[in-house]
Amino acid sequence: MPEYSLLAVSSAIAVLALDRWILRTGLLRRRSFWITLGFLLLGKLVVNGYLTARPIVHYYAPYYLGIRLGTIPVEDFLYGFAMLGLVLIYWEYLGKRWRSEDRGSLSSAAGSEG
Amino acid sequence: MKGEYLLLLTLAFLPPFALSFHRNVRRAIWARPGRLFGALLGMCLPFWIWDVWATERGHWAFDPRYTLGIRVLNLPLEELLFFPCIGFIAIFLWEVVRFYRREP
Repeated sequence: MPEYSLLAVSSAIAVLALDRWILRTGLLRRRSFWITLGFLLLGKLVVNGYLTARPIVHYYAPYYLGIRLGTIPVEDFLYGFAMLGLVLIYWEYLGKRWRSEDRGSLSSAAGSEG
Repeated sequence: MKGEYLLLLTLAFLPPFALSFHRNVRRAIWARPGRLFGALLGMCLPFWIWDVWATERGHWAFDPRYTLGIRVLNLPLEELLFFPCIGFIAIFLWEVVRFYRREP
């Protein structure tokens, strides 16, 4: 498999694994996540479409499959999934951590008053 | 036009950025700047490294006709900015979807 293709598949799997076994936010099981991804895909078609149609970014053989949806190499969709998935997984992970810290400080404050 | 990549990025980024201060999502997005910074940096770091390596290796290249010519780590400045900008758009949309779906 070409290098970029292999890396794109690996990055998507790595992001799935990161959430499944390490950060465990459960983000990928939520309908809101897939709805958000759907909206982002629309924007991606415009931005990535422009970048590859102009082209602002050139892609080179033999590093990708050469299969494009419109002007966008198929690998870019997995790359995009990994990138958007990763930022939202971290966002949720940090959100949960801070919420629990807030609860922790609130309960300890309440405890010291009591 | 040499500013084309930057213009595309700006057009994509500015509307979500401006709308992120709307009262329906402002608190969710901006209450914890460290959370925002951490999530963006957590995504940007591996993707910057990947991008620098892949550009060096010749997987892809950026057309000098449409980039300003300011290079950082051998990438156009626009390409480095691409990741935090798109990351922010993702977080913004996620919070908008959550708001309309009434998720706590």
